[in-house]
Amino acid sequence: MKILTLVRQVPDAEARVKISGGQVDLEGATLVMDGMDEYGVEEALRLREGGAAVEEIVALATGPKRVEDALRTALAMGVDRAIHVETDQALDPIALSRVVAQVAQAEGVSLILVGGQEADWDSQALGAATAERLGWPQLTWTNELALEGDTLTGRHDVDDGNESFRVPLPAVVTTQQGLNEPRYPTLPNIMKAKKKELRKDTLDAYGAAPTVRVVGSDIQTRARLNKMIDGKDPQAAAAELLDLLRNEAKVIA
Amino acid sequence: MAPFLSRRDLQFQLYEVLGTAALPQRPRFAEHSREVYDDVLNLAYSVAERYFANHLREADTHEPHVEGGKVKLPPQVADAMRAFRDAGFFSAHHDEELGGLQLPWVVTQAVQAHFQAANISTSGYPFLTIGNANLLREFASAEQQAKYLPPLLEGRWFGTMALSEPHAGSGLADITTTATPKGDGTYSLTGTKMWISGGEHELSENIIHLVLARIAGAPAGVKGISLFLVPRYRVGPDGKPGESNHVVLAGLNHKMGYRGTTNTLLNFGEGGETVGELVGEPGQGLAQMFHMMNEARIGVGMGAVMLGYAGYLASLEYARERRQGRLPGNKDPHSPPVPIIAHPDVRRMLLRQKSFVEGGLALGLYASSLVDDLHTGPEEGRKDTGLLLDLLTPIVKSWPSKYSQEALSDAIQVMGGAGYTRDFPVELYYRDNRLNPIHEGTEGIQALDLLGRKVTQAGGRGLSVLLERLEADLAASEALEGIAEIRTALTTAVSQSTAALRTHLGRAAELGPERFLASAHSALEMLGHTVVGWMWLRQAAAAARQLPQARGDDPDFYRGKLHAARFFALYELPKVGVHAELLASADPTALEMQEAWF
Repeated sequence: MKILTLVRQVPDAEARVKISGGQVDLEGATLVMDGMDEYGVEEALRLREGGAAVEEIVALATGPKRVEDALRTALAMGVDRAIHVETDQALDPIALSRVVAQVAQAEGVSLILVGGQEADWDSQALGAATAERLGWPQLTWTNELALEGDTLTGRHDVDDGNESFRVPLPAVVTTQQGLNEPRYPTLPNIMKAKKKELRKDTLDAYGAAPTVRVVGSDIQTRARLNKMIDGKDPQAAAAELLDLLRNEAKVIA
Repeated sequence: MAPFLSRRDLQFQLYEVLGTAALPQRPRFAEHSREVYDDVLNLAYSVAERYFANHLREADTHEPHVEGGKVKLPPQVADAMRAFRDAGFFSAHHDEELGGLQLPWVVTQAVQAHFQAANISTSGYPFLTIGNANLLREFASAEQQAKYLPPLLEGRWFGTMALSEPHAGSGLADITTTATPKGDGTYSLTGTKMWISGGEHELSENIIHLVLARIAGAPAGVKGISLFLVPRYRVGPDGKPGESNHVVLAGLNHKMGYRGTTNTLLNFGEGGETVGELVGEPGQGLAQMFHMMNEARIGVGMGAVMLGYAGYLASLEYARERRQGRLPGNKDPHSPPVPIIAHPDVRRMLLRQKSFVEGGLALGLYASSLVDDLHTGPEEGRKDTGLLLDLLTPIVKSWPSKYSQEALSDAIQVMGGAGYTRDFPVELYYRDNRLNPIHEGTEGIQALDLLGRKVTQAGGRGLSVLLERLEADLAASEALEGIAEIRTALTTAVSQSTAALRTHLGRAAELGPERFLASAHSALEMLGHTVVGWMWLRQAAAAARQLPQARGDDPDFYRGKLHAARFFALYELPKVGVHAELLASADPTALEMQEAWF
């Protein structure tokens, strides 16, 4: 079987992002592979290392030239080859799913791993949209996955416990924290990645165009109020703190 | 938490100042590319952030102690070693046939900078091991290399350098550890070694000590010192560590900083025989040890830079967030207090830190690039490169050690009472860095090395190369805008320095060795600031070239470089004149002071 893992490039969680012209300005920001997608890459590698008959693992990304960096990370982690659909257009999840589904069919993959949500566009729709296009079942928010023959078993957490599901391949799996602990590349694998195939496609080939456009972004501003509570009377101070948290900050009921 | 390192500045130094992206044109680096270097640096950042920065405070608070006869360290140190090992950093710069990537030394130093910035004391273990393996690679026999190198390069065994003894630190000529030939080609060692970092721990399967000792009957002084390879556990024919080699931990030193690195007093030959192997020829011990010192001293200088840099970044973040006071002229008590970075004196302290740590980083990486040029640069320039590197090494080691301490003092000052508490890391960086002017040759020894040896080496050729390169950079930057102050101040500093050195060297015979060398500290200060002024010219020129087409955050970045160069020109470079005058007059004030007058 072949596995397709989707790779997105997003700002590092530690990075400061700026807004310019109503858009997030990524110029100069540190960009990394989306953490959720790292779980997907790692899980694909683990399925193969665990003995599943994985013939090839392919990473797919869309976006501008810089997205290559995230694909190189996936290659250095152990993915066999990469496909980069190069475009400066931002694709909404529905448009992106058109690309993912076509690549999946052209490559003959039977498992697609994709982040349950993304740090750059938190629509949580890509996995579902791709499954819908292909008519495949999907396992969502997976934090445990096992493959036996052509049957996939996945588990995800719910509020008061967890649920397990079984689906036949081909299938789409969306990942989340807890699925695994993604590995770092190693220096020798960084060198090997240089020799692996990184294919470039144009967006035109897929007939995908965004229908949703971002027209404005704002960064929440935070200000410190520096409220001091007089602590001479501990009872009164505690009561005042409770009042502030309840009625002013509205963080407790 | 503030970032511990500026990735943008590292990129600037490597690619925009040093032209590291062109190194793959050299045959040794032909498999590399800028992308490879970027990926390697990204990996270093990730591993350093996750496995080294995570226990910075823990390693300081819970310093190594002995429990049940074994040295106990926080468990995160072992995790950090595993991550460093799994990534392949132990062997990165070595030849491919040894499992390395043949990474250039300048990239290797940039990689190591991440670990130094994230946690200097945990980074001590792998860096000692890397230095140890480098030395064996250079001088050990083929048989010794086959036996000891693979586990060191795989990070399964760790290494130390055992030079000092309780009575002989800076004065190594007086060491007394003795090696007696056993008749089978090996030696039996007895004696005590002091200040041995990484001398005992359970992080690795074995520890390889490189020990300076005298072969029984050897002449007094440095000519009688040989180098020995002494494993903690004797290595069996299967290549595996076996029985104890009776290197006994006599005590742990309890230090001001660098607490996570065990620092030990070791007895050799206690309770049984300590067997060692001679490395190289008898009597060559110190020379062999010092062959590696250039690289080790660059490493110390870079460690100092990174501590100063981390402190600068922490105080910068604090200054942007902490609100206090109002600007002069604002009499409205109801207006919000301003972030302290709005106060000019706070900006002065931040700018001073920036000028010291970024100047130091430029110097450390420049020296590292010379190590690459020495081995892989154009054949005809290598001799000159070697002499320039020799000349710069005492400055690369001592200047950042001293001026990062000043920068860290400013970092604490910017943060006020908060900087003085253990709630923030700046007090820890301050304590950690205080070692750097001391170990691997004190500041005083570096000054003596510079004035007594390096300035006159090969007929003063190293100094000529320095001046040629500096003047070439001055000439090439003539037409650039926004760098007038640094060009003017550097030109003055260079003429003051060269005139003072010419005068002092011309009077050497008349002054006699004692008075000649009594001015060594002035020479170090004078040349140190001049060289860092040169590093600021190089950075300012690169920034001035990039600024017109810069986008995003880059215009601010480049203007910051230009402004820091201006600060160094106006506030620091004039100090060169003071030291030049003291040197030119061979000022004898300290020399003439009598012990009884204190």
